[in-house]
Amino acid sequence: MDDPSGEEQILRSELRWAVIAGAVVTVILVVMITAGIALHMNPPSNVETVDPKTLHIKGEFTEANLGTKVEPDGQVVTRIVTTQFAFVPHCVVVPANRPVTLRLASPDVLHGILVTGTNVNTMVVPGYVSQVHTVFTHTGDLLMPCHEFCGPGHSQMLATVRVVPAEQFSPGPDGRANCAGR
Amino acid sequence: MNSTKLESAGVTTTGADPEPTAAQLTAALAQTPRGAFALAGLTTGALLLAWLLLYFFVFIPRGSVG
Repeated sequence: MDDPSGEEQILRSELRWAVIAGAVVTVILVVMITAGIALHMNPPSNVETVDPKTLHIKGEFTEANLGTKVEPDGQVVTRIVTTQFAFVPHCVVVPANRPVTLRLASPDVLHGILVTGTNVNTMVVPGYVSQVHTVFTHTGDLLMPCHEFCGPGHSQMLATVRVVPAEQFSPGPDGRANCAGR
Repeated sequence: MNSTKLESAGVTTTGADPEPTAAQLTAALAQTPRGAFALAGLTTGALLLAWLLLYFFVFIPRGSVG
């Protein structure tokens, strides 16, 4: 190429395009980081181990302790065990417009959950406790399927998250609430 | 590109010269490809717009998660 002005034009155009591409990436990163800091929105991240072989007989995930419970400090915590091929319990009730913590564990294989219409979405890895903090804003019965292939019954592995208005959320004296008694 | 390759590819032309000269190539490559930049800019802009719309009108309204 013998025309220096043509080369300069091309170089300027390429630099301009590099700036545009960098700006696009920057905009996306700034939006995500702002939402993470200001709105506390981030991918669930919790590194907490549990023994999958004994979680059903001792500790936090024994069957009697599953479901929704209002802890003494007022936190609403819902504990669910994901198994092949059912959620235990298969229906949980949570209050609307109130911070809820979902804690999940698996005694067998990889599972995953999402709650339709919300941003609740996490894997459940054997040996670890998955934890998601969220606020449910819409009332109703939300579907919670298993979204990580876990075997032949994976497609039948469904649970219900029943979001009720705060005034209808009536835990018992022990702080527990379930779908039957609300 | 030369006539041998074009012929082996089965391309035949009548009348028009299929091979650009070196000077034509140099002249074409010396120009800024404004059309390509325009197309790339439009598509990138459309993608960014779609990302922003989904983020603010679907993701954020679905509530906090952490």
